[in-house]
Amino acid sequence: MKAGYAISLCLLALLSLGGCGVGSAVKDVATTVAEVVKAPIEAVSAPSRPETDESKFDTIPFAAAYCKGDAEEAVATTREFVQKFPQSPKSHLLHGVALDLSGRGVMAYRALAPLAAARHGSAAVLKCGDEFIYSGTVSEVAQRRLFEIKTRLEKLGLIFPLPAPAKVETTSRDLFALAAMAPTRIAEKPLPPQEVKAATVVPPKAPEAEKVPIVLNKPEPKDGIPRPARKPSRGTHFVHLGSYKSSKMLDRGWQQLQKRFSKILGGEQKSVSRVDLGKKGTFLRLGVQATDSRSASRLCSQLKSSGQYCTVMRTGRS
Amino acid sequence: MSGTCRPIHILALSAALLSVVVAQASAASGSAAEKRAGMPANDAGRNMCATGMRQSPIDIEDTDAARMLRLGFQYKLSLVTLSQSDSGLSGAYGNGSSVYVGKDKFDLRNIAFRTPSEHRVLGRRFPAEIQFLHRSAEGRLAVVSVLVVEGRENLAFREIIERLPAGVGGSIADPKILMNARDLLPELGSYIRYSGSLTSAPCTEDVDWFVMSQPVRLSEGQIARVRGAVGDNARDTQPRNGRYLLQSAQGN
Repeated sequence: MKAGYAISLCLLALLSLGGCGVGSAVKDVATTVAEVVKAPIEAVSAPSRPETDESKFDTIPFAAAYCKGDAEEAVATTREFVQKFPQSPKSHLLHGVALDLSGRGVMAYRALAPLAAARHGSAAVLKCGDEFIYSGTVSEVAQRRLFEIKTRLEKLGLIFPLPAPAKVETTSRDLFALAAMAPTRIAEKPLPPQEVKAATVVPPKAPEAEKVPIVLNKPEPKDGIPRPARKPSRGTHFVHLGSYKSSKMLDRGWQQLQKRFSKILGGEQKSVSRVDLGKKGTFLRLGVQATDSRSASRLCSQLKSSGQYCTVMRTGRS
Repeated sequence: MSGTCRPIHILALSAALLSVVVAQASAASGSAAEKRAGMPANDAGRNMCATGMRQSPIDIEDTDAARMLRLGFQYKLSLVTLSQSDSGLSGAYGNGSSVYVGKDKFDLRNIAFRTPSEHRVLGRRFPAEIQFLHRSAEGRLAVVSVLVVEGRENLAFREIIERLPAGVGGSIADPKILMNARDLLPELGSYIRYSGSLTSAPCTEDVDWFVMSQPVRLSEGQIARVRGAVGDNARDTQPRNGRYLLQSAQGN
Protein backbone atom coordinates (compact mmCIF):
# COMPACT_ATOMS: atom_id res chain seq x y z
CA MET A 1 0.00 0.00 0.00
CA LYS A 2 2.82 2.35 0.86
CA ALA A 3 4.44 1.70 -2.47
CA GLY A 4 1.14 2.48 -4.11
CA TYR A 5 0.91 5.74 -2.29
CA ALA A 6 4.46 6.61 -3.22
CA ILE A 7 3.72 6.07 -6.89
CA SER A 8 0.51 7.99 -6.62
CA LEU A 9 2.15 10.89 -4.94
CA CYS A 10 4.79 11.18 -7.59
CA LEU A 11 2.13 10.87 -10.23
CA LEU A 12 0.33 13.71 -8.68
CA ALA A 13 3.47 15.77 -8.62
CA LEU A 14 4.18 15.00 -12.24
CA LEU A 15 0.79 15.15 -13.80
CA SER A 16 -0.76 17.78 -11.70
CA LEU A 17 2.15 20.05 -11.21
CA GLY A 18 4.66 19.30 -13.85
CA GLY A 19 7.33 17.28 -12.10
CA CYS A 20 8.44 15.87 -8.79
CA GLY A 21 12.09 16.02 -9.57
CA VAL A 22 12.68 12.32 -9.28
CA GLY A 23 13.76 11.73 -12.83
CA SER A 24 12.86 9.92 -15.99
CA ALA A 25 11.91 6.67 -14.30
CA VAL A 26 9.03 8.35 -12.60
CA LYS A 27 8.01 10.05 -15.81
CA ASP A 28 7.67 6.62 -17.37
CA VAL A 29 5.33 5.60 -14.58
CA ALA A 30 3.36 8.75 -15.15
CA THR A 31 2.98 7.97 -18.82
CA THR A 32 1.73 4.50 -17.97
CA VAL A 33 -0.87 5.84 -15.64
CA ALA A 34 -1.94 8.46 -18.11
CA GLU A 35 -2.74 5.63 -20.46
CA VAL A 36 -4.49 3.62 -17.80
CA VAL A 37 -6.82 6.38 -16.76
CA LYS A 38 -7.37 7.37 -20.38
CA ALA A 39 -7.69 10.93 -19.26
CA PRO A 40 -7.33 13.33 -22.14
CA ILE A 41 -4.06 14.54 -20.80
CA GLU A 42 -2.32 14.63 -24.13
CA ALA A 43 -5.30 15.96 -25.96
CA VAL A 44 -5.84 19.07 -23.95
CA SER A 45 -4.30 22.28 -24.98
CA ALA A 46 -1.12 23.29 -23.30
CA PRO A 47 -1.53 25.72 -20.46
CA SER A 48 -1.32 29.25 -21.72
CA ARG A 49 0.54 30.48 -18.66
CA PRO A 50 4.12 29.51 -17.92
CA GLU A 51 4.21 27.05 -15.07
CA THR A 52 7.69 27.59 -13.79
CA ASP A 53 6.41 28.58 -10.39
CA GLU A 54 4.01 25.69 -10.18
CA SER A 55 6.78 23.27 -10.86
CA LYS A 56 8.18 24.18 -7.48
CA PHE A 57 5.17 22.78 -5.75
CA ASP A 58 5.75 19.91 -3.44
CA THR A 59 2.33 18.32 -3.48
CA ILE A 60 3.34 15.10 -1.83
CA PRO A 61 2.35 16.35 1.65
CA PHE A 62 -1.06 17.31 0.30
CA ALA A 63 -1.61 13.97 -1.39
CA ALA A 64 -0.43 12.09 1.67
CA ALA A 65 -2.75 14.11 3.89
CA TYR A 66 -5.69 13.61 1.52
CA CYS A 67 -5.17 9.88 1.26
CA LYS A 68 -4.96 9.57 5.04
CA GLY A 69 -8.13 11.62 5.35
CA ASP A 70 -6.27 14.28 7.28
CA ALA A 71 -8.36 17.20 6.13
CA GLU A 72 -6.78 19.86 8.32
CA GLU A 73 -3.31 18.99 7.10
CA ALA A 74 -4.52 19.03 3.50
CA VAL A 75 -6.11 22.44 3.96
CA ALA A 76 -3.06 23.88 5.69
CA THR A 77 -0.75 22.58 3.00
CA THR A 78 -2.81 23.84 0.12
CA ARG A 79 -3.36 27.19 1.77
CA GLU A 80 0.37 27.63 1.60
CA PHE A 81 0.26 26.81 -2.10
CA VAL A 82 -2.39 29.42 -2.71
CA GLN A 83 -0.48 32.01 -0.74
CA LYS A 84 2.70 31.28 -2.64
CA PHE A 85 1.16 30.88 -6.06
CA PRO A 86 -2.10 32.84 -6.09
CA GLN A 87 -2.20 32.91 -9.89
CA SER A 88 -1.95 29.17 -10.24
CA PRO A 89 -5.23 27.37 -11.05
CA LYS A 90 -3.73 24.17 -9.74
CA SER A 91 -3.09 25.59 -6.33
CA HIS A 92 -6.74 26.65 -6.14
CA LEU A 93 -7.87 23.24 -7.34
CA LEU A 94 -5.95 21.47 -4.62
CA HIS A 95 -7.17 23.95 -2.04
CA GLY A 96 -10.76 23.50 -3.16
CA VAL A 97 -10.44 19.73 -2.95
CA ALA A 98 -8.91 20.00 0.51
CA LEU A 99 -11.65 22.36 1.70
CA ASP A 100 -14.26 19.92 0.48
CA LEU A 101 -12.57 17.11 2.36
CA SER A 102 -12.61 19.20 5.52
CA GLY A 103 -16.34 19.86 5.25
CA ARG A 104 -16.19 23.46 4.09
CA GLY A 105 -18.42 23.02 1.10
CA VAL A 106 -19.21 26.64 0.42
CA MET A 107 -15.59 27.68 0.53
CA ALA A 108 -14.70 24.74 -1.70
CA TYR A 109 -17.41 25.78 -4.13
CA ARG A 110 -16.07 29.31 -4.23
CA ALA A 111 -12.54 28.05 -4.83
CA LEU A 112 -13.51 25.67 -7.63
CA ALA A 113 -16.19 27.64 -9.46
CA PRO A 114 -13.77 29.96 -11.34
CA LEU A 115 -11.68 26.96 -12.39
CA ALA A 116 -14.70 25.10 -13.70
CA ALA A 117 -15.86 28.10 -15.69
CA ALA A 118 -12.46 28.69 -17.27
CA ARG A 119 -10.39 26.44 -19.52
CA HIS A 120 -7.37 25.23 -17.63
CA GLY A 121 -5.92 22.41 -19.64
CA SER A 122 -3.12 21.21 -17.45
CA ALA A 123 -3.52 17.73 -16.07
CA ALA A 124 -4.51 16.91 -12.52
CA VAL A 125 -4.47 13.44 -11.05
CA LEU A 126 -4.84 12.25 -7.51
CA LYS A 127 -4.65 8.59 -6.65
CA CYS A 128 -4.79 6.93 -3.24
CA GLY A 129 -3.49 3.40 -3.46
CA ASP A 130 -5.34 1.83 -6.35
CA GLU A 131 -8.16 4.32 -6.30
CA PHE A 132 -8.24 7.33 -8.53
CA ILE A 133 -9.70 10.23 -6.62
CA TYR A 134 -9.72 12.34 -9.72
CA SER A 135 -8.04 12.65 -13.05
CA GLY A 136 -8.46 15.00 -15.95
CA THR A 137 -7.68 18.58 -16.68
CA VAL A 138 -7.89 21.14 -13.92
CA SER A 139 -11.17 22.45 -15.29
CA GLU A 140 -12.68 19.01 -15.77
CA VAL A 141 -11.83 17.97 -12.23
CA ALA A 142 -13.18 21.27 -10.91
CA GLN A 143 -16.42 20.82 -12.84
CA ARG A 144 -17.02 17.33 -11.51
CA ARG A 145 -16.21 18.34 -7.96
CA LEU A 146 -18.39 21.39 -8.25
CA PHE A 147 -21.37 19.31 -9.29
CA GLU A 148 -20.94 16.96 -6.34
CA ILE A 149 -20.51 19.80 -3.89
CA LYS A 150 -23.51 21.66 -5.22
CA THR A 151 -25.67 18.55 -4.91
CA ARG A 152 -24.62 18.09 -1.28
CA LEU A 153 -25.15 21.75 -0.46
CA GLU A 154 -28.59 21.83 -2.04
CA LYS A 155 -29.55 18.75 -0.08
CA LEU A 156 -28.78 20.75 3.05
CA GLY A 157 -31.05 23.54 1.90
CA LEU A 158 -28.50 25.98 0.57
CA ILE A 159 -29.93 28.40 -1.97
CA PHE A 160 -27.94 29.07 -5.11
CA PRO A 161 -26.47 31.25 -6.50
CA LEU A 162 -24.10 32.03 -3.67
CA PRO A 163 -24.05 35.66 -2.64
CA ALA A 164 -20.79 37.48 -2.11
CA PRO A 165 -19.27 36.38 1.21
CA ALA A 166 -19.64 39.84 2.72
CA LYS A 167 -23.37 39.80 2.01
CA VAL A 168 -24.01 36.91 4.34
CA GLU A 169 -24.53 38.22 7.82
CA THR A 170 -24.88 36.17 10.92
CA THR A 171 -26.16 37.44 14.21
CA SER A 172 -23.70 39.16 16.48
CA ARG A 173 -25.25 37.53 19.53
CA ASP A 174 -25.16 34.03 18.12
CA LEU A 175 -23.65 30.93 19.62
CA PHE A 176 -20.18 31.61 18.30
CA ALA A 177 -20.00 35.04 19.86
CA LEU A 178 -21.20 33.61 23.15
CA ALA A 179 -18.82 30.68 23.04
CA ALA A 180 -15.93 32.96 22.19
CA MET A 181 -16.57 35.51 24.87
CA ALA A 182 -17.76 33.51 27.85
CA PRO A 183 -14.86 33.39 30.25
CA THR A 184 -16.75 32.06 33.22
CA ARG A 185 -17.86 28.72 34.48
CA ILE A 186 -20.66 26.86 36.09
CA ALA A 187 -20.41 23.76 38.25
CA GLU A 188 -16.89 22.58 37.54
CA LYS A 189 -17.66 19.06 38.71
CA PRO A 190 -20.87 17.25 37.85
CA LEU A 191 -23.14 17.17 40.84
CA PRO A 192 -25.31 14.17 41.59
CA PRO A 193 -28.73 15.16 40.30
CA GLN A 194 -30.38 14.75 43.68
CA GLU A 195 -27.88 17.12 45.20
CA VAL A 196 -28.10 19.85 42.64
CA LYS A 197 -27.72 23.10 44.42
CA ALA A 198 -27.11 26.60 43.33
CA ALA A 199 -23.93 26.29 41.35
CA THR A 200 -21.07 28.64 42.00
CA VAL A 201 -21.25 31.19 39.28
CA VAL A 202 -18.90 33.97 38.49
CA PRO A 203 -20.89 36.48 36.46
CA PRO A 204 -19.07 37.23 33.26
CA LYS A 205 -18.28 40.69 32.11
CA ALA A 206 -21.04 41.19 29.61
CA PRO A 207 -20.54 43.32 26.53
CA GLU A 208 -22.43 46.58 26.32
CA ALA A 209 -25.14 45.17 24.11
CA GLU A 210 -25.65 42.19 26.37
CA LYS A 211 -27.25 43.16 29.62
CA VAL A 212 -28.14 39.70 30.80
CA PRO A 213 -25.27 37.74 32.31
CA ILE A 214 -24.40 34.77 30.18
CA VAL A 215 -22.76 31.73 31.63
CA LEU A 216 -21.49 28.74 29.74
CA ASN A 217 -19.95 25.65 31.10
CA LYS A 218 -16.32 25.73 31.94
CA PRO A 219 -14.33 25.38 28.75
CA GLU A 220 -12.78 21.98 28.60
CA PRO A 221 -9.07 21.69 27.94
CA LYS A 222 -9.70 19.81 24.73
CA ASP A 223 -8.24 22.43 22.46
CA GLY A 224 -5.85 23.99 24.94
CA ILE A 225 -6.61 27.44 23.63
CA PRO A 226 -6.06 30.31 26.03
CA ARG A 227 -9.30 32.22 26.45
CA PRO A 228 -9.71 35.86 25.62
CA ALA A 229 -9.64 36.87 29.25
CA ARG A 230 -6.21 35.44 29.60
CA LYS A 231 -3.47 37.97 29.10
CA PRO A 232 -0.29 37.16 27.27
CA SER A 233 2.20 35.48 29.53
CA ARG A 234 4.97 37.84 28.60
CA GLY A 235 5.92 40.64 26.27
CA THR A 236 4.54 43.82 24.91
CA HIS A 237 4.32 42.69 21.33
CA PHE A 238 2.63 39.88 19.49
CA VAL A 239 4.25 38.48 16.36
CA HIS A 240 1.29 37.41 14.26
CA LEU A 241 1.97 34.42 12.03
CA GLY A 242 -1.45 33.41 10.81
CA SER A 243 -5.16 33.19 11.52
CA TYR A 244 -7.24 30.08 11.60
CA LYS A 245 -10.87 29.13 11.88
CA SER A 246 -10.35 26.19 14.19
CA SER A 247 -8.02 25.05 16.90
CA LYS A 248 -7.14 21.93 14.96
CA MET A 249 -6.02 23.93 11.98
CA LEU A 250 -4.12 26.26 14.25
CA ASP A 251 -2.25 23.38 15.83
CA ARG A 252 -1.39 22.03 12.41
CA GLY A 253 -0.21 25.45 11.33
CA TRP A 254 1.99 25.80 14.38
CA GLN A 255 3.51 22.37 13.84
CA GLN A 256 4.30 23.23 10.25
CA LEU A 257 5.82 26.56 11.18
CA GLN A 258 7.96 24.99 13.84
CA LYS A 259 9.08 22.35 11.42
CA ARG A 260 9.78 24.81 8.64
CA PHE A 261 11.44 27.46 10.79
CA SER A 262 12.88 25.26 13.49
CA LYS A 263 15.92 27.47 13.93
CA ILE A 264 13.85 30.62 14.34
CA LEU A 265 10.81 29.34 16.21
CA GLY A 266 12.36 26.33 17.89
CA GLY A 267 12.52 27.92 21.31
CA GLU A 268 9.30 29.87 21.05
CA GLN A 269 5.95 29.07 22.59
CA LYS A 270 2.83 29.64 20.60
CA SER A 271 0.43 32.32 21.67
CA VAL A 272 -3.20 32.26 20.63
CA SER A 273 -5.86 34.91 20.81
CA ARG A 274 -9.41 34.86 19.59
CA VAL A 275 -10.61 37.76 17.50
CA ASP A 276 -14.08 38.56 16.26
CA LEU A 277 -13.94 40.19 12.83
CA GLY A 278 -17.65 40.76 12.58
CA LYS A 279 -19.00 39.61 9.24
CA LYS A 280 -15.88 37.64 8.50
CA GLY A 281 -16.37 35.59 11.63
CA THR A 282 -14.30 34.60 14.59
CA PHE A 283 -10.68 33.67 14.05
CA LEU A 284 -7.86 32.32 16.13
CA ARG A 285 -4.68 34.33 15.79
CA LEU A 286 -1.48 32.35 16.02
CA GLY A 287 1.78 34.02 16.94
CA VAL A 288 4.46 34.31 19.54
CA GLN A 289 5.01 36.86 22.25
CA ALA A 290 8.02 39.16 22.12
CA THR A 291 9.45 41.05 25.04
CA ASP A 292 9.80 44.32 23.11
CA SER A 293 9.33 45.85 19.70
CA ARG A 294 12.92 45.32 18.67
CA SER A 295 12.94 41.58 19.29
CA ALA A 296 9.52 41.32 17.68
CA SER A 297 10.72 43.10 14.56
CA ARG A 298 13.87 41.04 14.43
CA LEU A 299 11.91 37.83 14.62
CA CYS A 300 9.45 39.02 12.03
CA SER A 301 12.22 40.05 9.63
CA GLN A 302 13.81 36.65 9.85
CA LEU A 303 10.53 34.95 9.05
CA LYS A 304 9.64 37.34 6.24
CA SER A 305 13.00 36.82 4.61
CA SER A 306 12.16 33.14 4.51
CA GLY A 307 8.86 33.83 2.79
CA GLN A 308 6.60 33.58 5.80
CA TYR A 309 3.80 36.04 6.47
CA CYS A 310 4.46 37.97 9.66
CA THR A 311 3.35 41.17 11.27
CA VAL A 312 3.98 42.75 14.65
CA MET A 313 1.10 43.81 16.87
CA ARG A 314 1.25 45.66 20.14
CA THR A 315 -0.46 43.85 22.95
CA GLY A 316 -1.01 46.99 24.94
CA ARG A 317 1.00 45.87 27.91
CA SER A 318 3.96 47.86 29.08
CA MET B 1 -49.16 -36.58 -2.16
CA SER B 2 -50.99 -34.04 -0.19
CA GLY B 3 -50.49 -36.13 2.90
CA THR B 4 -46.73 -36.01 2.58
CA CYS B 5 -46.72 -32.29 2.03
CA ARG B 6 -48.82 -31.41 5.01
CA PRO B 7 -46.03 -31.64 7.63
CA ILE B 8 -43.88 -29.39 5.45
CA HIS B 9 -46.70 -26.87 5.20
CA ILE B 10 -47.12 -26.91 8.93
CA LEU B 11 -43.42 -26.44 9.42
CA ALA B 12 -43.35 -23.55 6.98
CA LEU B 13 -46.35 -21.97 8.64
CA SER B 14 -44.75 -22.38 12.05
CA ALA B 15 -41.56 -20.83 10.83
CA ALA B 16 -43.46 -17.91 9.36
CA LEU B 17 -45.41 -17.39 12.57
CA LEU B 18 -42.22 -17.65 14.58
CA SER B 19 -40.55 -15.02 12.45
CA VAL B 20 -43.51 -12.70 12.95
CA VAL B 21 -43.37 -13.26 16.70
CA VAL B 22 -39.63 -12.63 16.73
CA ALA B 23 -40.08 -9.52 14.65
CA GLN B 24 -42.75 -8.26 17.00
CA ALA B 25 -40.59 -9.03 20.01
CA SER B 26 -37.78 -7.17 18.37
CA ALA B 27 -40.06 -4.23 17.70
CA ALA B 28 -41.32 -4.35 21.26
CA SER B 29 -37.76 -4.11 22.52
CA GLY B 30 -37.10 -1.03 20.39
CA SER B 31 -35.52 1.88 22.16
CA ALA B 32 -37.36 4.85 23.50
CA ALA B 33 -35.69 7.01 20.88
CA GLU B 34 -37.15 4.83 18.16
CA LYS B 35 -40.58 4.94 19.69
CA ARG B 36 -40.42 8.67 20.23
CA ALA B 37 -39.41 9.17 16.66
CA GLY B 38 -42.16 6.88 15.47
CA MET B 39 -39.59 4.66 13.83
CA PRO B 40 -39.68 0.95 13.36
CA ALA B 41 -37.20 -0.81 15.61
CA ASN B 42 -34.05 -1.90 13.85
CA ASP B 43 -31.61 -4.03 15.76
CA ALA B 44 -29.11 -3.86 12.93
CA GLY B 45 -29.10 -0.11 13.35
CA ARG B 46 -27.82 -0.32 16.91
CA ASN B 47 -24.32 -0.77 15.58
CA MET B 48 -24.52 2.70 14.11
CA CYS B 49 -23.69 4.13 17.54
CA ALA B 50 -20.24 2.59 17.28
CA THR B 51 -19.64 2.42 13.56
CA GLY B 52 -21.63 5.28 12.06
CA MET B 53 -19.68 7.95 10.24
CA ARG B 54 -22.33 10.67 10.40
CA GLN B 55 -23.11 10.73 14.07
CA SER B 56 -24.39 13.42 16.39
CA PRO B 57 -23.68 15.52 18.34
CA ILE B 58 -20.67 17.34 16.96
CA ASP B 59 -18.48 20.27 17.81
CA ILE B 60 -19.78 23.19 15.78
CA GLU B 61 -17.00 25.20 14.24
CA ASP B 62 -15.90 26.11 10.76
CA THR B 63 -19.40 26.70 9.52
CA ASP B 64 -20.08 28.06 6.08
CA ALA B 65 -22.44 31.02 6.13
CA ALA B 66 -24.99 30.85 3.33
CA ARG B 67 -28.49 31.68 2.23
CA MET B 68 -30.57 28.77 3.40
CA LEU B 69 -34.12 27.55 3.25
CA ARG B 70 -36.26 29.24 5.84
CA LEU B 71 -37.51 27.31 8.85
CA GLY B 72 -41.24 27.85 9.11
CA PHE B 73 -42.42 26.95 12.58
CA GLN B 74 -46.09 26.13 12.80
CA TYR B 75 -46.21 25.02 16.39
CA LYS B 76 -49.55 25.12 18.10
CA LEU B 77 -50.74 25.10 21.66
CA SER B 78 -50.83 21.43 22.53
CA LEU B 79 -50.90 18.92 25.31
CA VAL B 80 -47.44 17.66 26.18
CA THR B 81 -47.14 14.45 28.14
CA LEU B 82 -43.96 14.08 30.15
CA SER B 83 -42.65 10.58 30.58
CA GLN B 84 -39.61 8.67 31.74
CA SER B 85 -38.07 6.23 29.32
CA ASP B 86 -34.88 4.29 28.70
CA SER B 87 -33.16 7.36 27.34
CA GLY B 88 -34.45 9.73 29.99
CA LEU B 89 -37.12 12.30 30.43
CA SER B 90 -39.01 13.54 27.40
CA GLY B 91 -42.27 15.13 26.46
CA ALA B 92 -44.56 13.71 23.78
CA TYR B 93 -46.10 16.57 21.85
CA GLY B 94 -49.67 16.48 20.64
CA ASN B 95 -50.50 16.25 16.94
CA GLY B 96 -50.83 19.20 14.63
CA SER B 97 -47.55 21.07 15.12
CA SER B 98 -44.89 21.08 12.47
CA VAL B 99 -41.92 22.83 11.01
CA TYR B 100 -41.45 23.51 7.30
CA VAL B 101 -37.98 23.36 5.78
CA GLY B 102 -38.72 25.02 2.51
CA LYS B 103 -41.67 22.95 1.32
CA ASP B 104 -40.83 19.85 3.36
CA LYS B 105 -43.06 19.35 6.37
CA PHE B 106 -41.89 17.69 9.58
CA ASP B 107 -44.32 16.99 12.42
CA LEU B 108 -43.20 17.70 15.96
CA ARG B 109 -43.23 14.48 17.95
CA ASN B 110 -41.18 14.94 21.05
CA ILE B 111 -39.16 17.33 23.18
CA ALA B 112 -36.07 16.13 25.06
CA PHE B 113 -33.72 17.82 27.50
CA ARG B 114 -29.98 17.29 27.72
CA THR B 115 -27.57 18.56 30.33
CA PRO B 116 -25.03 19.74 29.58
CA SER B 117 -25.52 20.49 25.92
CA GLU B 118 -24.68 17.67 23.52
CA HIS B 119 -23.43 19.99 20.82
CA ARG B 120 -20.36 22.03 21.49
CA VAL B 121 -19.62 25.37 19.91
CA LEU B 122 -15.94 26.15 19.35
CA GLY B 123 -15.18 23.34 21.75
CA ARG B 124 -17.45 24.55 24.55
CA ARG B 125 -20.48 22.96 25.99
CA PHE B 126 -23.47 25.01 27.05
CA PRO B 127 -25.34 24.26 30.28
CA ALA B 128 -28.26 22.55 28.55
CA GLU B 129 -29.83 21.70 25.21
CA ILE B 130 -33.45 21.29 24.23
CA GLN B 131 -34.14 19.04 21.26
CA PHE B 132 -37.36 19.05 19.27
CA LEU B 133 -37.70 15.78 17.39
CA HIS B 134 -39.70 15.81 14.15
CA ARG B 135 -40.71 13.23 11.60
CA SER B 136 -41.99 13.71 8.08
CA ALA B 137 -44.75 11.70 6.46
CA GLU B 138 -42.04 9.85 4.51
CA GLY B 139 -40.24 8.90 7.72
CA ARG B 140 -37.42 11.42 7.54
CA LEU B 141 -36.22 12.73 10.88
CA ALA B 142 -35.33 16.29 11.74
CA VAL B 143 -34.21 17.69 15.06
CA VAL B 144 -34.40 21.36 15.92
CA SER B 145 -32.00 22.01 18.74
CA VAL B 146 -31.76 25.00 21.05
CA LEU B 147 -28.80 25.58 23.30
CA VAL B 148 -29.32 27.14 26.70
CA VAL B 149 -27.35 29.89 28.40
CA GLU B 150 -27.86 31.17 31.89
CA GLY B 151 -29.74 34.39 32.30
CA ARG B 152 -33.03 35.63 33.63
CA GLU B 153 -35.79 33.24 34.55
CA ASN B 154 -37.61 32.05 31.46
CA LEU B 155 -41.32 32.33 32.10
CA ALA B 156 -42.20 30.07 29.19
CA PHE B 157 -40.35 27.27 30.94
CA ARG B 158 -41.82 27.87 34.35
CA GLU B 159 -44.72 25.44 34.06
CA ILE B 160 -42.76 22.63 32.46
CA ILE B 161 -39.97 22.96 34.98
CA GLU B 162 -42.40 22.86 37.87
CA ARG B 163 -43.62 19.46 36.64
CA LEU B 164 -40.17 17.92 36.37
CA PRO B 165 -39.40 15.11 38.81
CA ALA B 166 -37.06 15.84 41.68
CA GLY B 167 -34.44 13.33 40.59
CA VAL B 168 -33.35 11.23 37.63
CA GLY B 169 -35.95 8.56 36.96
CA GLY B 170 -38.30 10.09 39.51
CA SER B 171 -42.05 9.87 39.12
CA ILE B 172 -43.95 12.66 37.47
CA ALA B 173 -46.94 13.63 39.54
CA ASP B 174 -48.74 15.61 36.87
CA PRO B 175 -47.36 14.71 33.45
CA LYS B 176 -49.71 16.70 31.21
CA ILE B 177 -48.91 20.29 30.32
CA LEU B 178 -50.65 22.62 27.91
CA MET B 179 -47.97 24.58 26.14
CA ASN B 180 -46.74 25.96 22.83
CA ALA B 181 -43.28 24.76 21.87
CA ARG B 182 -42.81 27.99 19.93
CA ASP B 183 -42.35 29.71 23.29
CA LEU B 184 -39.25 27.61 23.89
CA LEU B 185 -37.54 28.75 20.70
CA PRO B 186 -35.34 31.82 20.22
CA GLU B 187 -36.69 34.85 18.39
CA LEU B 188 -34.52 34.58 15.32
CA GLY B 189 -34.91 31.70 12.95
CA SER B 190 -31.29 31.45 11.85
CA TYR B 191 -29.70 28.07 12.34
CA ILE B 192 -26.79 25.75 11.65
CA ARG B 193 -27.65 22.69 9.61
CA TYR B 194 -25.87 19.41 9.13
CA SER B 195 -26.64 15.76 8.56
CA GLY B 196 -26.28 13.66 11.69
CA SER B 197 -27.95 10.98 13.76
CA LEU B 198 -30.07 10.31 16.78
CA THR B 199 -27.90 10.81 19.86
CA SER B 200 -29.15 7.69 21.61
CA ALA B 201 -29.49 4.12 20.39
CA PRO B 202 -30.02 3.14 17.65
CA CYS B 203 -28.14 6.27 16.56
CA THR B 204 -30.01 6.22 13.26
CA GLU B 205 -28.30 8.38 10.65
CA ASP B 206 -29.65 10.71 7.96
CA VAL B 207 -31.19 12.91 10.60
CA ASP B 208 -31.35 16.57 9.64
CA TRP B 209 -30.08 18.73 12.48
CA PHE B 210 -30.99 22.38 12.84
CA VAL B 211 -29.10 23.93 15.72
CA MET B 212 -30.56 27.37 16.30
CA SER B 213 -27.96 30.14 16.08
CA GLN B 214 -29.45 31.96 19.00
CA PRO B 215 -29.68 30.37 22.45
CA VAL B 216 -32.52 30.65 24.92
CA ARG B 217 -32.02 31.74 28.49
CA LEU B 218 -32.92 29.87 31.61
CA SER B 219 -32.13 30.98 35.11
CA GLU B 220 -29.50 29.24 37.16
CA GLY B 221 -32.23 27.62 39.22
CA GLN B 222 -34.13 26.44 36.15
CA ILE B 223 -31.02 24.88 34.67
CA ALA B 224 -30.27 23.18 37.97
CA ARG B 225 -33.81 21.83 38.08
CA VAL B 226 -33.59 20.40 34.57
CA ARG B 227 -30.24 18.89 35.40
CA GLY B 228 -31.62 17.37 38.55
CA ALA B 229 -34.42 15.74 36.55
CA VAL B 230 -32.43 14.36 33.62
CA GLY B 231 -28.91 14.06 35.03
CA ASP B 232 -25.81 14.45 32.91
CA ASN B 233 -27.23 12.72 29.88
CA ALA B 234 -25.30 14.28 27.01
CA ARG B 235 -23.57 12.06 24.49
CA ASP B 236 -19.96 12.92 23.66
CA THR B 237 -19.31 14.81 20.46
CA GLN B 238 -18.62 12.66 17.43
CA PRO B 239 -16.15 13.13 14.58
CA ARG B 240 -17.31 15.46 11.87
CA ASN B 241 -15.83 13.34 9.09
CA GLY B 242 -15.93 16.03 6.46
CA ARG B 243 -19.60 16.86 6.84
CA TYR B 244 -20.80 20.25 5.72
CA LEU B 245 -21.99 22.65 8.41
CA LEU B 246 -24.05 25.42 6.93
CA GLN B 247 -25.03 28.48 8.89
CA SER B 248 -28.04 30.35 7.66
CA ALA B 249 -27.74 34.06 7.24
CA GLN B 250 -29.56 36.38 9.57
CA GLY B 251 -33.28 36.35 9.10
CA ASN B 252 -33.39 32.94 7.45
